[in-house]
Amino acid sequence: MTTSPESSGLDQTVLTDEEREAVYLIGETLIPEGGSGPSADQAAVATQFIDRFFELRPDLHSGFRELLAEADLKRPREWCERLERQRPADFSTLTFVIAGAYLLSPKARGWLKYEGQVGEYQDGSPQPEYAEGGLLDPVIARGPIYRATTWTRDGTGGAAATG
Amino acid sequence: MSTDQADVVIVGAGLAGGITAATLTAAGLHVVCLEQGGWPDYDKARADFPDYEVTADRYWARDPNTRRAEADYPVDDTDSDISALMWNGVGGGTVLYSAKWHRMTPGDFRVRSHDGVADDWPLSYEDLEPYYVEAERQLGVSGLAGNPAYPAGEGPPNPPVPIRAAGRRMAKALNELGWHWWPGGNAISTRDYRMLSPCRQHGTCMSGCPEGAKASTDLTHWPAAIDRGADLRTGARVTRVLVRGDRATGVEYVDREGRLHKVEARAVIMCANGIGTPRILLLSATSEHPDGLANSSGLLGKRLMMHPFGAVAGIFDEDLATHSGSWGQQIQTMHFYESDPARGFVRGAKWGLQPTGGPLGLTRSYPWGQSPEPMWFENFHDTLASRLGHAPMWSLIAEDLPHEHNTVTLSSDLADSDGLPGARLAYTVDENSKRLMDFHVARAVESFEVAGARETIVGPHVRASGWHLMGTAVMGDDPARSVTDRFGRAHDIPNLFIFDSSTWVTSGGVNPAATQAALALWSSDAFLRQGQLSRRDLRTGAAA
Ligand SMILES: Cc1cc2nc3c(=O)[nH]c(=O)nc-3n(C[C@H](O)[C@H](O)[C@H](O)COP(=O)(O)OP(=O)(O)OC[C@H]3O[C@@H](n4cnc5c(N)ncnc54)[C@H](O)[C@@H]3O)c2cc1C
Ligand code: SF4
Repeated sequence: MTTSPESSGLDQTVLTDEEREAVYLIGETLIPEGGSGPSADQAAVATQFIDRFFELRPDLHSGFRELLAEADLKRPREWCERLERQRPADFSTLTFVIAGAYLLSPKARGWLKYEGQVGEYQDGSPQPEYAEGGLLDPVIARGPIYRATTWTRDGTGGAAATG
Repeated sequence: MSTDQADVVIVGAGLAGGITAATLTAAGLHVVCLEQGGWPDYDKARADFPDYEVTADRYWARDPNTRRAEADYPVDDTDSDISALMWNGVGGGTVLYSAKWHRMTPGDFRVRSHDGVADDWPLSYEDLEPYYVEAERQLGVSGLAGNPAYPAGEGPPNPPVPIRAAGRRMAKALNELGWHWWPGGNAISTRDYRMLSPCRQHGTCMSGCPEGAKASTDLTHWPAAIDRGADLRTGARVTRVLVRGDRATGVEYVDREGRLHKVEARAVIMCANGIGTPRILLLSATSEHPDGLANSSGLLGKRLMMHPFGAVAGIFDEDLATHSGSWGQQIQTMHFYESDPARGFVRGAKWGLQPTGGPLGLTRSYPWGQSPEPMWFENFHDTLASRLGHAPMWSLIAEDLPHEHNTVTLSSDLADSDGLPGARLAYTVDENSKRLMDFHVARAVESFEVAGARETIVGPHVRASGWHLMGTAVMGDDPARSVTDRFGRAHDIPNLFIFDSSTWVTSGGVNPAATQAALALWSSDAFLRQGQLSRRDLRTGAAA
């Protein structure tokens, strides 16, 4: 990603261009090029989906910016690894934002063939696994496995357990 | 301060509150229910949108300390191995629950007799059985009758959720091992049933069901109760139960504008859950009841049980479509449920097989951080692709024995938005639970290995797992050793009742909603049957 303060045209209130550069570097570190799917940059994390992410999660905005401010952008890999080791909760926030923005991108979702939690229709129809001759047969054949009790309430209202 | 009257005032509109209100209004009683939260906003159920995983834990966060909505009260869990999870609003915990549905077994009510620890319940499985059946009808439960882990009897009204590829795979493995399994029971409807629609298997059940397929009492009980005249007041936080001598006279509550109100009633029924109920009864201390109401036994707020939780996932080469499916559970096993002295611990756990959801969840550290396959950097694409759709998970609910040192008290430094002290937990997972969990986790790993998993991932102990809050106002026959009788009536204050999960004697090793629902029906039925508060009694002033 190459941007300059004058030319980026991106919303400076979400992230300044310097911060976007940091997102680009950290994104490419956590989700780099060369794997079977798009990298963070190829999925337009720093230029597009990070903005969408913070529209949805404004509550994570300031904490994330604080992390960017302290990131060592000369050695982003070492910085990420250190954060993961020493401050797992902050690493979790960082990766939730970057991976969250990445997975909003249709490119990333397309690579995973992930259509969201769309589910599947079902109508409670009988399932062959549960019919006679199905998978449950041996379970039923083994018979009860619960521990029986023989219990009556005694005359004084106390519990008289014998089982 | 405004004052009005009711036959019965119920505190809390969750699982027990919804069922109790529906039962008592059907019998003609004038019921006022005070609920500190509002109605759940299903516009925030985002299963059908690409932002689902990004937004799910915002509105639907489980920990009130994270959510910090106006209706929440802080729970200081600094001294607790587990943090308490809950939903403070109409529907209570059922709004968030994953709706796994299990009755307790007969032996669960007899832990002292069978295993020499804890206590027996003053009621039996047989006592509750008709109420289980009725609760299953009311909540449109899906599942299959005939589970050999229970006595024979009537099953739930709806057929089980689809077994899916993952369930089939694990069922075959358990058959190979000769272990018990059964189709999952879920308070999730599989067809049009009363007010519920068929489940569409999004796998988003804990973050707002967009279909109205999951049974939560805001759907299954409150609309009918309100139609019959129940007066449900939301944004109404009960500050204390009012007493004169050994009689409850009503409750005081504060509305969202900070105005104080009083409802006078012939009976007060607490349904504020295992933390909310002791909190309110402790807040209600008077000079006559200096240790809180109904606490002459000293057991109010003690014996907190939260069910230590375990998670074991398997990763398979094949696509098992584990990103979705009712969540809930596809299948479950109780093979190692009953005690076996040879194992070095008492009691057991139930496992439920569930999906693991979408890709963002699979990058999180729990339980996935335990995998030897690194998640980030050059591994990102391979690791994520290998998990998505390929990873069923067993969730393990382990019996938690009651200990008096596991407590709910009032916080001395945290307060809710109305200035009332929050709750404070002191809770440790005991040695029995640790040994029990180690054993069960090892067996769960074995099951995945037999099923051909390429990798198994064992979640470490996780604090954020206090989904089940039980035991803090124990029921019993002896007033010196219990807070209520077996019908939830306080020994010390005969027109004060506790119908929520505070009264549990032991926890069982299954998810609690089924037993909680059955208990609310059992207690409500006794309340009516014993004529404690029939209309005639009220008019003649002869109430209990
Ligand atoms: C995330 C999650 C997942 C779960 N999954 C399962 C599952 O799969 N299967 C299962 O069986 N169980 C599950 N449970 C547990 C189940 O939901 C609870 O056991 C059940 O809801 C408890 O019922 P209850 O009536 O005791 O309390 P709740 O349902 O918690 O209701 C208590 C109500 O009281 C209100 N209240 C408290 N204090 C006050 C006050 N001062 N004034 C006014 N109102 C007040 C609260 O706002 C709340 O609405 C889960 C719970 C959670 C949180
Ligand atoms: S899987 Fe079923 S119960 Fe769960 S959210 Fe989807 S429709 Fe609702």
